[in-house]
Amino acid sequence: MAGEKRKTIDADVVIVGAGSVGSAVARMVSRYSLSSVLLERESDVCCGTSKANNAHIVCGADITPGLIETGIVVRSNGLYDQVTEELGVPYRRIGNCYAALTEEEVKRLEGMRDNALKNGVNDVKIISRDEVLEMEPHLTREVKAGLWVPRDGIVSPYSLAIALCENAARNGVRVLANQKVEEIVVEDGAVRRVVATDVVVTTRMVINCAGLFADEVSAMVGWNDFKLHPRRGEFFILDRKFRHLVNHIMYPLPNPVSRGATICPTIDDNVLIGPTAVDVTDKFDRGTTAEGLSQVMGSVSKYYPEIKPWMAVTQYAGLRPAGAPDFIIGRHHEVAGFINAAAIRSTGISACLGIAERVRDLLAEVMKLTEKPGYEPRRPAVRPFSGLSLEEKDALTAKDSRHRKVVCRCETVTEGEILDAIHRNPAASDLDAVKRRTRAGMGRCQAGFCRPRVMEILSRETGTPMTKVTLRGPGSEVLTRPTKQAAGKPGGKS
Amino acid sequence: MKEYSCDVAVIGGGAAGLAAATAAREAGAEKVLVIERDRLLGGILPQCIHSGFGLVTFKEDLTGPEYIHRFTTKTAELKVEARLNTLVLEVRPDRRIIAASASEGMIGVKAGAVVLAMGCRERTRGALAIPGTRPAGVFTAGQAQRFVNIEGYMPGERVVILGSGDVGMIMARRLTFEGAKVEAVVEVLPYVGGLMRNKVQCLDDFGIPLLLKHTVTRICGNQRLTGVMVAQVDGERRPVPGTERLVECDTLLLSVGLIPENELTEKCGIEMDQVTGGAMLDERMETGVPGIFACGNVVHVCDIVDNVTAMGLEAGREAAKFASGGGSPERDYVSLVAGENVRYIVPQRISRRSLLERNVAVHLRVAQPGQNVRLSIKAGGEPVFKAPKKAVHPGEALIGELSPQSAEFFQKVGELVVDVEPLVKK
Amino acid sequence: MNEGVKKQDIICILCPKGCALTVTGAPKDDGSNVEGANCKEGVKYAFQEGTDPRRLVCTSVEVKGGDLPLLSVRTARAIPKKLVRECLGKLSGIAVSAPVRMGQVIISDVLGTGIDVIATREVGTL
Repeated sequence: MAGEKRKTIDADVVIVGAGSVGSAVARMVSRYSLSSVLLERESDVCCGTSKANNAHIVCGADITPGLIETGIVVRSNGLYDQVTEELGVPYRRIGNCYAALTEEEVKRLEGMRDNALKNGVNDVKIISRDEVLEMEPHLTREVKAGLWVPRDGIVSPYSLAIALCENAARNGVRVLANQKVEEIVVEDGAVRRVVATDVVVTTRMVINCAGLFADEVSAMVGWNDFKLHPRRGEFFILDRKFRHLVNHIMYPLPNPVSRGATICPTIDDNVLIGPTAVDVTDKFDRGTTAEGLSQVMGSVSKYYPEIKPWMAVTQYAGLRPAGAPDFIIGRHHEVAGFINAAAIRSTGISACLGIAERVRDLLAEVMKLTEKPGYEPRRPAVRPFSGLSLEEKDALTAKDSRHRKVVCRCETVTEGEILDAIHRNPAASDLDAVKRRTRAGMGRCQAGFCRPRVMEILSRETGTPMTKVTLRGPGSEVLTRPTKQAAGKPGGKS
Repeated sequence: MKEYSCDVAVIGGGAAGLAAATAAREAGAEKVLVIERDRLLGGILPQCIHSGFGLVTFKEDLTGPEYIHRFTTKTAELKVEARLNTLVLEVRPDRRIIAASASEGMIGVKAGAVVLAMGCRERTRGALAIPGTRPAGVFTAGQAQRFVNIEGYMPGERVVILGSGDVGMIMARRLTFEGAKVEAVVEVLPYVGGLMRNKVQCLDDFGIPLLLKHTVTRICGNQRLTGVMVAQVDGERRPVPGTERLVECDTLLLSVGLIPENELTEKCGIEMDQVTGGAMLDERMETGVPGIFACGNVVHVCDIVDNVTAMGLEAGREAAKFASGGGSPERDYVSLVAGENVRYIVPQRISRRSLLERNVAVHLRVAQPGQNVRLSIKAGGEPVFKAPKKAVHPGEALIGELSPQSAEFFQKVGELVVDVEPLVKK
Repeated sequence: MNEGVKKQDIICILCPKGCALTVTGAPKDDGSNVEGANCKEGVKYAFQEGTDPRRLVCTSVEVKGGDLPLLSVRTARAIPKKLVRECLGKLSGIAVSAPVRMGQVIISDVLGTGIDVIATREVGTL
C-alpha cells in the first residue's frame, strides 16, 4: 500500500482478530446500536489458533481454580447449547474420560475430581476400569480407572467462528479480511483511529482479540507488560472408517505444561488426535514436524494400540498464544477506548462466549449500550447435502438445480453448497475458505478430484482468473500460468 | 425422484467401464448404461497423452486418448447410454443404484447386473504424514497431469517429484516439455518404481536426477512452496540423520501410490481383499454379491491398460449373462493362496466348474523384485502351471494360466497356491 | 572377444517390457552384437539408438473455439532425438481451430522429417 491512499471509514467499535474470541465479541457488539468493524489480517475469518486445535468445548473441570479463565470457561459452557442452536452450529456434549494407566495416576483422580468441584463442575465422577472399557471398548486393557466429565463436548472449531461472524455481519458488522492492524493512533489519551493494510478506521473503541499477536496489538497503545510466544500443537485427522475406534473425548492425565494429546471423534465423524505442546519462537512457523507427529502417535497408541499413522487423511499444526499465566481481559487504565481480550491460550473456543459477555460488561462501563431493534440472533443452519436423507436430497435437487452437481466426491459436496459459501458474508474467496465452510477437499482424496472444479467455480463467481485463485490469499496461488504460455511471458489466456 | 432401469449398469466410464459396456452389449444386453461423474468419458486416459497403450489389445503403440477413443466410438456405435456429471452415491445389494445427476437431480436405477469400474485415487501427503507446512504448490502427480493436459494450466515452474512410479516419471517429462525445471525425482526404494523405459525416456533423456533411497522429510514455505528437505533413507526406509538437505522448488508432485476407490463397494457390504484394496472376485469378475461384478483398477491397481480392458471385457460379458437370467453358476470355489514372494492374486477364487471346463487367467504381483525365478501354481504341492521368468518386479503384474486338467484332479483340489521361487540351477 | 571393446547396457524403450540390452562394440545393422532382446524390434532398436536415436513426441497444442482448451497431439512416428526441443517449440506457438478430427494433421512433415504431427483426439466446437 506504499504511496496509495487508504480508504477511511468510521466505526464506534473496532474488533481486531476474527478468531473465535473476536467473532463472539463481534456478535455481541452487533446486538447494540453501535457501528462496528471486525478486522482480520488473514484472507478469511478464523485462520489462526481457532482453526487448528482439538475442537473441544470444555466445561472447566481441569482448569486451575481461581483463575479468570476458570470462571469464564465454566460460565461460558452453559451458553453453548442455546448459542449453537441459534447459529445452526453442530455441537455435541459427548463427554470426556481421562484414562489412568498406572496406580499412581489412579491416585491423582481424586485430586482432579476435587479440582472440578472447586470450579463448580459437580457432575464429574471417578469410574471403574470396567465402566471405562464399556464406554471405550478399543481402549488399552492397561487402563485402571477413569475420570468422567460428562458435559465436555465437540464442535467444529471454524464452523463456530464462521457462524458467529456471519451472524455478526447480518446484524451490521463490517467484516474485513486481509486487514493487518499496523498502528493504533492515540491522541489526547484516547484511541482515535486504527490503521490497517488498506483501510483507516476512525473509532473510539478498539477491542483486541488478536490471539497470537495480541501482545503486539496491545503494545501499540502502550500496554506491553505481557509477551506471548507460540506453543505448537500437532494433530492427525483419521479417516472416517476408523470412527468406531473411539466414542468419547479421551485424555491422558494432564502434565504441568499441557493437557496432553487427546483422541476424540470430530463433529464430522472423523477421528482427531493431538496436540503436542512445544514452545517455539516464530509466530509464522505453522508446519508439523517429524518429532511432533511421532510424539502424538506414540502417546495415543499407548491408549489405543490399534491406531496407526496410515489411517490418517491429514495432519496439521496450530500455534496457541502462551506466555501469560491467565486471561488478560480488561480496559486500558491510561488510554481511553482500548479493551484487551488477550492471552487466551488453550480454551479460546470453550471460553469465547463468556469472554464476549465480560467484554460487554467492560464496554457498558464506558459506552451506552442500547439494544438494536431488529437484531436477529438466529442464523439458518447450513445443513450439509451429505447429511440429508434421500428424500431430502431429492426434494432439494428438484427445487434447486445448483445442488444437482456433486463437486467433491469424498464429502459429497454440491456446487450449490460451494456457491452459497462464496456468496455468504463474510464470503469465502479462496480454496481453504470454501473448504472450511463446505468440507470440499477434506476427504480421503484431499482435493485430488475436486480441486480443478472448485477453482473453476471460484474463478467464475469472483471474476478471478484461474491463475489467481489461491489456497489462502495472496502468495498462495495454486497455478502459475496457462500451459501454452511460456514462463515469464505476459499475455495469452489466463 | 426419477426411476430408471437397465440390463447392465456400469459405474465409471474409464477404460474398465467402457470395455465392460461394449462387451455387455455384444453379449446381448439390450440396455447398457454407463454412469460417469466427470464431464467427459475416458477416466484417466484423456489426460495420459503419452504413448505406450494398447500394445497387447491392438498391437499398436497408442497414446491414452487414442486408446480410449476406440472404446468411446464403439460404445456410441453400440448405443450404450452414458450419463455424465452423475455421481453414484449408493449401490445396494439388490442392484438398485442411487445417483445425483447434474441434469435431473436424484435418480434411481434398477439394474439387472452392475459392473463396478470406479478406478482408483492417488495416495496423498496426509496418508504419508510428510511433516512441514501446507503451502500451495503440493499436488499429486495425476492431479497435476489433469491441470496440465486437460484444464491447460501449469502447477509450477521448479519441480521436485516424490515417487518414481510411471505417473511421476511421465510428469517429469511433461513438465519439462512445457518449460518447467524438474530438479529431481526422489524414490524411497532402492529401485525405480515404474517401467525402466520411462526412466530412460523421461529422466535420463533430460538429465533429471533420480535419487534412489531418498525421501522428502519436510515441506517448506507458508503461502507457496519454497522447497523440500530431502534425506537418504536406511534399509528400514527411515531418514538417515545428517543427510537432510534443502532442494529449492515451488512445486512438489506426489507419485506415491494408487488406492482402489471402493467406498461404494464397502457400503454395499461386498467382501473385500485387504491386500489388493478391492473386492474379492471369482474368475467371472463377480463379487461376493450375485449380479455385482467389478473390473479394472477398482479391483487391484493394474500395470497396463490392456489388463484393465481384459478384465472389463470379462466382467461385461458375465454381467450381460447374469442380467439375461443366467444367474450365478453354482459357487463351488477353489481359493487361491499367495505363497512365496506373492503379494496378491486376482481372482481370489475360481469356480471348480471353470477349472474343469476352460482356461482361467490368474493375475498376481510379487512382493520383492527377483531374477531367474519360476512362477508356479500348485495344487496339493504339485504344479499345475509353471513358467520361468528372467526378472520379476512388484511394478509388473504376472499372469499365470490354468487349463482344464483331468476332471478327477480338479475335483479333489482344495486350494491353489501361487509361488514365485528362485530357480535353482542343477 | 577383444579386451577394451566397449560393452554398453541400454534399455529398449519400444514397449513396457523395457528389456535390458547389452551392445558390444560399434552398432551393427544385423544386430549380431546385441544381447538381451526378447523380440527382433529390440535388436533393431539397439542399432537405431546407437546411430540415429529417435523419440516419439507427445504434447498438446492450444485449441480455439473448442469444447476443450487443449488438443493432445503426437508425432506419427519417432523423430530424431536432437529435433525434439525444436519440435516442441514449433508446437507451443500454434493454435488449432475446433472442430478437430482424430488423426488430423496438425503440422505436416515437421522440421523436414517426413513425419506429421497428428491429433490424438477429437475436439468439438464450443
